[in-house]
Amino acid sequence: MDLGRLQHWLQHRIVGDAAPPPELPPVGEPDIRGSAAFPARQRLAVYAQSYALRLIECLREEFPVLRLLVGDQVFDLFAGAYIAAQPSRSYSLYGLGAGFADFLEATRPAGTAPASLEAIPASLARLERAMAEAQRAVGTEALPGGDLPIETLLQLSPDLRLRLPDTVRLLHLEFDFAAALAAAARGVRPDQPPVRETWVAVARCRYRVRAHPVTSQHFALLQALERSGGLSLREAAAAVASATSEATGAMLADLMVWLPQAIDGGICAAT
Amino acid sequence: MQDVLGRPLILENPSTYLEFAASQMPEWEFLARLAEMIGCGLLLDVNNVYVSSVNHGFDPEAYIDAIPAERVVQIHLAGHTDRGTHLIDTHDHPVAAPVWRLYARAQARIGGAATLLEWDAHIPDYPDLLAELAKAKAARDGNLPESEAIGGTERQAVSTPVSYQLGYAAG
Repeated sequence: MDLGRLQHWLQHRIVGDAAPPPELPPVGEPDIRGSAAFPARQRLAVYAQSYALRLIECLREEFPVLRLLVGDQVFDLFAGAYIAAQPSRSYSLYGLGAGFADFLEATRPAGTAPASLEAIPASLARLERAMAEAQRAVGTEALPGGDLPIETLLQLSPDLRLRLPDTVRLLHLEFDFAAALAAAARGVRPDQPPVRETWVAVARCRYRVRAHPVTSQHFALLQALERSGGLSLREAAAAVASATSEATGAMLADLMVWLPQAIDGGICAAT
Repeated sequence: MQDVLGRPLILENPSTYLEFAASQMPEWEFLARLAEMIGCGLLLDVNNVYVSSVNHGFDPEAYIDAIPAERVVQIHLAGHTDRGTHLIDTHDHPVAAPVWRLYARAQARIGGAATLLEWDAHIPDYPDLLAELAKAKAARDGNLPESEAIGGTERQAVSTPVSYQLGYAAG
């Protein structure tokens, strides 16, 4: 018996991975010791079902708000279909949920409008994945001198350099999930999220991840920082003023008020 | 691998649900020979021994007796779930009576190895958890505890749940 061939076949049966190469002689259930009470097929099923259940359990933990919103039964159907359609290829469970939102988007009923009820799961999954990514990113908490003193933040200079921390994810959503996140944090099943265009900055501060609603102008600023890799406050204000038809002075004045809070919340970094 | 890592490895016996027909060596013999050959330590999970013994129909006491006592550096205890035709290592119940007997036998052979109680889901209140550990001390001294019936479930069971590892601060 070729142990490598046996292991390849077993992996295929358990994880739904690529089939063994056709040139190899087939392996089958007769190669597994079974009994009348606990036959080979059932023994294999213990591993295959446990593997799928464990991955579903991981998705439940990564998408707790969606799970609460749609209920365990529907969530497990979503998760089981995703795992079956896109078997995990990552060595890390962190990679497992990366494609879940896109899968939900691609498989929602055909012909439904962008902001219809059926669009909620994909949109919420995108938000929760962003929160997982923000939690995972390296961040600045452990870096020496990462935080500017509050006095500096209150005396923002137009030459201050701004950048987007790697713990921030920007999302333009068709639903307002703020109440749903708050309900889930209390362990309560959320009401259906209202249809409302929202701009969200998911950010981590002192290892706590929050989804911050921001204005479209502030969102544009954060996008500009993301695209450029970093701008001075003056450049950022000019870029956003140009994109939003605001006067640069008015934009600068607005940022002088908002930026200290944004920097303190981990949405933006200044050096 | 031990040379590369610069430290000794401690290998644990698993709980298993299938065996290959082509297998030529029982697990206990494989572990004993492996430990002797490479000089590693062993982590003896007596619940895994019991779960596998029921699933494959071997004598769990023979397994315990065949493990080289001088290689065992720690013993693991856990609860399991009875699925009717087989047992699953779920870490979510009290330790079952047959497992306590194996534990006492193992400790008598080994002469007092450190013990770890694994309980990853449906974790009881802290006093109850301590009471389960107290049973281990009693069993080590030869006083076998009266244990609750093995838990059964109609639901599909997953071994060693992961929820406690994955929570993140939200809201």
